[in-house]
Order: sequence, then C-alpha cells, then structure tokens
Amino acid sequence: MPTQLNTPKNTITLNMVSSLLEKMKIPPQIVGGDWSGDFGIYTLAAEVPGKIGDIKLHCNNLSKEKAVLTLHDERQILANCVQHVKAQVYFSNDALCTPSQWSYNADILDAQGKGMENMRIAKSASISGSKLKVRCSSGVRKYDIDGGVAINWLLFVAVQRLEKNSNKKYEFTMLDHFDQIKKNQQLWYSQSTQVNVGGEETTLHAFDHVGDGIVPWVYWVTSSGQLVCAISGIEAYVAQGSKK
Amino acid sequence: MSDSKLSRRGFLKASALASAGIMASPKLGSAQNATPKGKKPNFLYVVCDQQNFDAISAYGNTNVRTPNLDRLVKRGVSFMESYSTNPVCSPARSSLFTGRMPSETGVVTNDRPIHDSIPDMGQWLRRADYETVHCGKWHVPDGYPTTMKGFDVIPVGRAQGDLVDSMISRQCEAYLRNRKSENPFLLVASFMQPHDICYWAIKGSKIVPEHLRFENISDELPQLPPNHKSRPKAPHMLNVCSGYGAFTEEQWRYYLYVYYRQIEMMDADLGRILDALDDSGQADNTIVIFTSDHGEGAGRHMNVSKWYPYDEAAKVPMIVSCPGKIREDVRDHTSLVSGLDVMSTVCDFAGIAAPDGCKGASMKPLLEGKKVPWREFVPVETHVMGRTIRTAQYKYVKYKNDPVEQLFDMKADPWEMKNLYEDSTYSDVIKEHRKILASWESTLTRVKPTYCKYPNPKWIQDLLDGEYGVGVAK
Repeated sequence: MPTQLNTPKNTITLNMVSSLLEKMKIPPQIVGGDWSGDFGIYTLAAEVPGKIGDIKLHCNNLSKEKAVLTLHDERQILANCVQHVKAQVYFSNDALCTPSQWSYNADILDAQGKGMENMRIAKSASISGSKLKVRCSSGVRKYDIDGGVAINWLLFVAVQRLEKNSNKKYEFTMLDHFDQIKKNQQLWYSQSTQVNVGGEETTLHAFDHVGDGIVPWVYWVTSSGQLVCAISGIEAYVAQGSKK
Repeated sequence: MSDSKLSRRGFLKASALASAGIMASPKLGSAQNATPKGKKPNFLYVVCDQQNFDAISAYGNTNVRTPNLDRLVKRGVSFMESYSTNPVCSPARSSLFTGRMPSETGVVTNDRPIHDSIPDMGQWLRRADYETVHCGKWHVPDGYPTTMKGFDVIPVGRAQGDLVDSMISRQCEAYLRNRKSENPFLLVASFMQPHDICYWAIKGSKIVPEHLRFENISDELPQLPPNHKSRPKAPHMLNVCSGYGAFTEEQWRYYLYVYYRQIEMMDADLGRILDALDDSGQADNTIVIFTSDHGEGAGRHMNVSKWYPYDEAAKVPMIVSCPGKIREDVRDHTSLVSGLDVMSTVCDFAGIAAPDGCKGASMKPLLEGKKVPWREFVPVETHVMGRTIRTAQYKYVKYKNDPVEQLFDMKADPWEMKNLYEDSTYSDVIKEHRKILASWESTLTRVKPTYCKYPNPKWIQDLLDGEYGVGVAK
C-alpha cells in the first residue's frame, strides 16, 4: 500500500537533529532478518548536537519466534574514561520484542581499556509472565509487572517492524536501561512527513512513546522500516550506519 | 512577635542547643577531636537539581509518580518547610556542602569555587576517617570535576538528564555493592535531573510545540497552579528577569508534564541506589539525606527556572532517613530548616564538631523526635540582589537598589499572591522582619566573591561591581 502522508502534527523534535540527517546516508537493511545498527548518542542541549557516545545493536534470529540482541553502549566520560555496557537480551519476535532474559556488565574503562576497580556491575534477569527476577552479586530481587514488558533498547528493534498507519496502541511496562521499572508506557504510530535525509527528500514515519519516567520519545523510521533516529527531549540516538 | 524572639540569638540558640554534645568537645573546629560512641554511621547524600518541594507523590501530588522518593518519605522525616540558601545552583551547593551562606563561601553566582578558607563536607569528614566519594554534578565551580579536594571522584559524563544520571546511579550502585573498606563512607550522588527543564524554557517553542503532539496524554497534562497568572507587586529586577509569557496554556501544561517526567527519571535512578544500599547490608547504619539545590518555577507566578524568592524556587524537599535511628513516616510542618543544616547534621551524627563558623543547626534532635528549641527564621540570599527572611508566618524580601519590598502571609496566602508590603496593617511586621534581616546579616563573615569561570551577565556584574568594587568580582 502506498504510504499516506499525514499532515505533520509537528516535527520539532526532528528539526533538532536536521543537521545530522542532512549528512546521513541511510544504510541498506532487511527488516525482520538478522540486523546490526550503530547509533550515535547525542545531547541536544546546545544548538549543535553534541555526540557523547555510541550504541551498537546486533540482532540474531535464533528461530522464527526467538532472537537475541547484543548491545555495546559506550559513553565518553571525564578523565579520558568511557562507561561501557555490554548486554545480551533474549526476546520473542512479537510486536514489542518481549524479553525473556537479559544480562549485562557495566564498567568504567580507562584510556587503555582497563576497568576501574570496584566499578563493575553485573546483573542478569529472567522474565516469566508477570514475574521479573533480577540477580546481582548481592542476591535476587523479585518484581511483579503488569501487562506487557519491553526493554527500551528492544524498542529500537520493535519500531522497525511495527505496522505504519495503524491505530493500534501498545501498552506495556518498560525496563529502562534493563533494570528500571517504568509503568504506564504507551507506543503508537503517529504521523509521517518528508525531510531531507542525505540530500534527498525522504518519507519518515513516527512512532510516539510516552509513559512514567520518560520524556516523550519519537522514533523515526523509513518507509522500509530502518530506524533513522530516536529522540526524547534533548537526548537523541541517530543512525550512524547499519548493514544486513 | 517580639524582637527578642526573632533575634540572631534566637537563630543561634537552636543550633547551640541542638548540638550540645558537639559543643562539649574540647576543641571546636577540629574534626579529629571527635569522640564518637559506637560505630560511625555512613551517609548517602543525594542532591538533585531543581526539584520543587512538593513534587513527590507521597505528599499527595497526583501529577508525578515517585515510588522511590515515597520509600524515603515512608522511612524517614520530611521537612515540609525547607529552604535553599540561595535558589541558584552554585551558591546553593556551596551551602549544602559547607553550612555557610553563599556570601560567606564567596559563591555568590554560578561557576565560582568555595573560598579556600572554608572546608567542604568531604574535606571535613575525611579528616575524621570517612571514605568520601562524590559522583555527579558539583558546580563549585566545575560542573563535573575529575579531582576534588575533599572527595574521591567517580567520573561520569558531562551531558544532561538521563544521559548522565543513569551513569551516576549505576556507578553509585557499583560503589555500594563492591566497596570493601571498613571505614564509614560519605557517598554523594548528585543528579542532574530535573534540571533539564531549563532547556524547555530556553528553547521555548523549538521544543514545546504550539499544539500538543501527543494526544494520548491530553488527559494527563497537569492543571496550572492557582497562582499561575499572579504577579504580585515586585521590584523592577524581578519583573524584567522573571516571568514567562511565551507559552499558551496548553504549552504550559505540557511543560509541567515534561518536568514531572524528569523528576520520575531521577526517582528511578534514586531507586537503583537505594536498592544497592539495602542489598549492601549497610542501610541500617546509613543516614540517607535527600534534597535539591533549589526549586523550579513550574508555571507559578508565570515563572520558569529559579533565582527569585518565591517558594517555587526557594523551597526544596528535605528528607532524612535511617531505619532505627530516625523516626519513620513523619512530616514536620513546623520546623524551618535550611540547606545550611546538612553540614551540622552530618557532623552531629558522625560525632564530630562542625567546622568553625558553620551557620547551620543539626536536625538530629528533630529527626529523633526530641523536643528542642528551634530557630524562628530561615534566611535566603536571593541571588545577588535580594535577601529573604522566612518566619513561621511571613516571608519578607528586601532588594538592593529598589524601594519595593515584599511581604507574604505564608499561612493565609501560601501561593504568595498578595504582597502586603503597602498594607499599613503590617507595618510593624515589616519593621520586625527588617530588624531580623539586619541582625542576621551582621552575623555573616563575608568574603569577596571568588573568581568566576565564566563572565556574568551584565546586570549581575553591575550589581557585583556596585557592592564589591569594579573588577573585584569578575
């Protein structure tokens, strides 16, 4: 079905990264298959977006129903150090990429890549129905979760698969940064618009996301599903390249 | 209300009596001379940036959901009349870590260091064998320093909001879960949020759409406060430097919606640290202190941001908890407390003397439910041009170089909508408050402003030049 362009409600969040979009070359991608995506992490506090790090996502389909996401999140911090988070998430190939288990290590690495003493966090979790168990060195914490569950980073995958021009609204609890439980989340398709991406007028489609503990997010994807950028207030993740 | 009840002596009396145990130590001003009994407590000192005093769901605010702040409220004492010493980041922070007024620390505007003659909390507790660790925003003068005189620094990034706060909470979590030292600790977790809301004001319609983008939240947009359009008679500077007329009602409500979400972000980061503290087995011996450097306009009096004397900017949350040591689920609506008091309170719990010249009073007896004489006013330095005295019933504000003063009856008019300054009925009250202010000011040991990393706006520099001499306070 040809894309129906809505009258844009507003594209102000997109405008805040327009300088990056104009230089972007949208990489090829096959939505639904194995996928890798690199996103620059930007602060939009100043007029010019400031890059503070990178996040690399890689999805492998394990079966038609199951997949695994590997994440590397590196953010520049002071004293020539980086905060590095490495994570793995097993999830279902459903609409919100519902997670079943995850694990991550977070470290502060110095300029030589050596971890700072006593700064490592290693956690893992399993999710079964409404039960979430989070394990770390000090023991296990158990939580009850209402309704569907999503992880913020898996939404980067999910929005590439969701139907556009749909009225469907997804309601869920989000595990933000894996271990922060944020309730009353809603995600839905909102609009499409045309913008300059890499010197060409390109149709982008927006999924809007609101809920407790988050400044509203807008995920912008191409007509074929590639996630071009995700923006929440003055925080943005902008595609740096992706490949099949 | 008599002069004697509101004198400097009245202010100091509380401090002296509340700290009686400390005062008995042989040498004031020496942390090492402490004679603590039993195991010294740890301190988890959580400072956020720009949170309104009432933006906590446990206090009945239905616009925000703060399960982790609610945990603290339930397990500790909330001071419902708590004031910043100066509703600007650096000045307020200089007091939170020294117990001195900003005019005494030299941090009279943003981006200035604490005067070398005054020890900060890290320096002071380190001398008493505390492991002192800082993670997050500092801003006296560097926002995120890599080294500090009084603290070991856990480095984080320089960015805003969730980009930095999620790192801060994760690294503080790592510290609490992995630490091996037998020494007691002071961990400062200093969050950036909800300061991000400043960018919604600075960027205006570039980030706050004219028409609500997210229709799904139209029912959730907070109502505007009752004093939204109130602009009581105010000095010239307050009229020209504050108040924001660019938003429509819907934009204001969306602005508030975003602000409350930013508080919830900070709350989630607080939760990470509280979980780690609980899991560490140290919770029963750790005093948790939560406060903010200052508040936020939040549409009250059409205000955004801070620096002015209204409660939206000057009043802050103050919650202190420790299972078994501090009363639980108590809201103290009568004791006037200040950012000055944290230093004295920490020293009192640690069993050490507060530094010489510390102007705060220890909140420890209040936290333990002891009946003690308490101060009768709190002072607020209103940026560089104003001085505020808040007593039990009134708030009085005097500005430099402007004949207009302000007086609000905080019991009858808690939203500060009617300036009583010109009402002759209150002339005696105003006189009394002028005396309190003059008396208080006479107790301060002022220093010249310390150097400023960045140039001040002209209107601020002009005021500084007028007070301290041209060229002194750059």
